[in-house]
Amino acid sequence: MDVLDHECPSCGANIPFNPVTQKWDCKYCGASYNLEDFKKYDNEIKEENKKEEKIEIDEYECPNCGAKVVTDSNTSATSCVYCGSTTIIKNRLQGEFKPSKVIPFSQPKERAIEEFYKFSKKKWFAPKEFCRRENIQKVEGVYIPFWLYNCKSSGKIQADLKRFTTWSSGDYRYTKVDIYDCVREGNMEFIGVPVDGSTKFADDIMDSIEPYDYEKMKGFSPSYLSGFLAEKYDVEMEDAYSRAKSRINNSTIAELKSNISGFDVVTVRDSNIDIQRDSDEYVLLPVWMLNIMYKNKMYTFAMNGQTGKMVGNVPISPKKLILKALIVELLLTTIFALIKIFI
Amino acid sequence: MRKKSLILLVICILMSFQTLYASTSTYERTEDNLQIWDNINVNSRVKNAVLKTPKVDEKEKIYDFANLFSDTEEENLYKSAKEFIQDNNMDIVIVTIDENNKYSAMEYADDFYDYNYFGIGSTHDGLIMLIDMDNRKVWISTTGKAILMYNDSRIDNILDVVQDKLINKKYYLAALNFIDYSDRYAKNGIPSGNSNMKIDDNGNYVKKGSLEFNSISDVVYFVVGITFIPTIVTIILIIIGVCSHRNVKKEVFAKPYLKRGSINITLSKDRFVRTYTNRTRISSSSNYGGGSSTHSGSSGTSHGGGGRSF
Repeated sequence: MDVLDHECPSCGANIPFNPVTQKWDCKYCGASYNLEDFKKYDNEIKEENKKEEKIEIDEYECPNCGAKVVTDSNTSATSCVYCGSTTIIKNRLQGEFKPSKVIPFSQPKERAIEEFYKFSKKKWFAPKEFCRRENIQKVEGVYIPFWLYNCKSSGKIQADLKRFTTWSSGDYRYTKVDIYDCVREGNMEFIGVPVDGSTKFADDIMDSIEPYDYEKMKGFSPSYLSGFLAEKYDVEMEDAYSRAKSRINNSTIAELKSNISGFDVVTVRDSNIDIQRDSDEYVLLPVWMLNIMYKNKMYTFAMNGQTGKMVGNVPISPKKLILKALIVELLLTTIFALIKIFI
Repeated sequence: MRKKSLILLVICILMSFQTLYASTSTYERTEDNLQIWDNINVNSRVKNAVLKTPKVDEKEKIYDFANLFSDTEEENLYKSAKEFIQDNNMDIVIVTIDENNKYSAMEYADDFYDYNYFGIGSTHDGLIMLIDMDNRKVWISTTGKAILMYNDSRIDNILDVVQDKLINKKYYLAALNFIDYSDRYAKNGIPSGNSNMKIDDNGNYVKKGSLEFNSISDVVYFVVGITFIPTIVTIILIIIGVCSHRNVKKEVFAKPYLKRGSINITLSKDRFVRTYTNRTRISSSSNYGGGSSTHSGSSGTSHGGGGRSF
């Protein structure tokens, strides 16, 4: 699938991937294609011009922040997704771009905008002017590179346990403390622990829009890039692994700890966890990036392109906070005063 | 001759001083002249009770009918009582009896207080302690504002101290401690448990109207009472609201990626190390909360208080 033309096989117009129908819809002639149709069409083309094989993936580089994104040659990036700079340079793709799998977008752009309104309006202390359409500078669908790790962990924890029993007799209250020492050994398996392979993309935002449903994962085809941008990984698989390892380590300890029951205080004194990596994968996961400009400050929001989960820090308006707090305080105080007077 | 008469005079004066403290003299009551407060409703039952109650000089404060105190002890008690009355604007009386001609120690104490001119102000504020050697009981009765000041837990604490001394036959110390502890509590002010109670014009212990403010502390109690919970609720709501604005955070666990059913515990061992038991006293003395329980005497006046055997 190296060669692919994202042109409508019927009329030749630019044809982007539609997240709602999960097909490639042509806006001009109304034709609709799935991946199979494309492959068939593709093979026909291949046979037609066997000699003219070319990689039609473009790379854009932002001189301002250094971000690198790729997309198919029919989709053009006009500004940097991260810093908003419009002076981005189009290059030929350097090296290879071969993720093994992709989760296609299933949420359209309109949904991301709508979700942003709903999300920020729901916040109690959000400034009124923040949730305005004018503030949305850019909404861009980006495939973020991820490393997924499948691991087996095994290990041992040692913990101090305390159990309290209290009773009273006569004038005294008695507290009996039983102290135990315990060992738990066990093993478990983790499937697809994700680590964001892009340094540009903040780890905490990415962690917050997890999880993705891996069941819907498809084999990678550049066709999915049509209409979207994709980033190349810049964190190597081995470097990203340490984050996955630490998460697996913590969860293994937590699971072994949860096996201890019947005690009031459990203090893990020592742990020794061994993590073995079975396999890993390089995948692209869909994210809607929203750049919000408010009072000359850029706020980044992100929506999980598969589940529609929105994350981002909505600013707090001190005026609104004080006003709402005062209203609540006054209302409750009035109710209490009335209760006190009439009861 | 002159010198002799002078010495005699001095002795006489000294003697008369002495008798002032040591006296347990009583005065006569007649059916026509009961010598009681005007506000007491007189019927045959009351008349009977009044006639059985000794009429004493209300200025003496210490009435040692059972002769438990020496003269100097009585003098000291009188001085302490005087000080207490001046400082706290409440009366204080101590009575000891050998023989109780009434139904109970409580009844005797109430009647003795009500049918003599004790108490300060229109509600006859004050307290009395009776040491009843006949029933081997000690009883403290409070009247008027003293009902507010000495709630049940304070009375209990005073009785704890007094009872202990009485069991050991230290009658003087018991009486001295009674005045001393009563003074200490009066200095602490009305306990919080009685903050919403008051003494009405008839001396009854009743609930205060919710918008009745007799002092600045009443206003403070009211304001704190109605704003405390709303303020805490508001603060909690602000914290929840602010936290909801920050929903971007780093994840340190991998729980969602744990393969279901893959957990396999291979070793599970709990080893007993040791055990120990602590005990703490359940303190009742720290509880100044509650209110006062009251009863009315034969005169119809409300009293608080309590008593113990010794």
